[in-house]
Amino acid sequence: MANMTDRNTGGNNLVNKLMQAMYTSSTSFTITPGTGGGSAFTITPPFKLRLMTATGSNTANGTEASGNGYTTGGTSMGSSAFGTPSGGVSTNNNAVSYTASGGNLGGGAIVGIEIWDTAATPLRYLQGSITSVTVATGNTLNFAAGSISADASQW
Amino acid sequence: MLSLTCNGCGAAVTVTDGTDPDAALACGCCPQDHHHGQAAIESGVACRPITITVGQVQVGPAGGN
Repeated sequence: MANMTDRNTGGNNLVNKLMQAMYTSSTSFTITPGTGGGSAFTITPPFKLRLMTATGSNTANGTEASGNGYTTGGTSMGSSAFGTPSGGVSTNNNAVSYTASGGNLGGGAIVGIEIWDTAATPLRYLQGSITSVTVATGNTLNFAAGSISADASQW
Repeated sequence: MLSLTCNGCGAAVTVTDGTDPDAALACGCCPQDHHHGQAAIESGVACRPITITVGQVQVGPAGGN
């Protein structure tokens, strides 16, 4: 299927609205569908950016980095993780960085990222791969604001 | 490609995929051996630590958890 709908204009601008609700909200909220629309679900910001030493997929988690300056569960992407979408694309609002200490960051080469919420049992929302990078002690791995793109056309 | 910035001189450095950035840096701000870290001691230039800035990353839907 081609792009699911007009992602930027049209009568209801629905894709942008959905993207903004999911990734720009700074407080948790519950979506309750109407009759026959499935179960209610809750989205719990802030989102956290996790580093991976093995990439996952759309259906399976990757292997999370561990130690040496990396905190299990990742680092917050700020109160509004992503900015207002345009054309169904949102990018991260804030820079996120990690500094290695006591060894290579996360125990090995970083090859991917995942974005999880902060529910009591966190849920994974987004994932992607990066160029493999080993971050030696004292060095910092930085994701600049605007460098992480979530594109609704992939949904 | 990875984009790096030397915190000593601010120079932008690019290293190829799969390369250890710490070993590949050669921005020129370290006069002894152009290697960040070693030269910081020898020249007094604060070449370390370095900041590695990841380029554009596209993230897609994720489930399964």
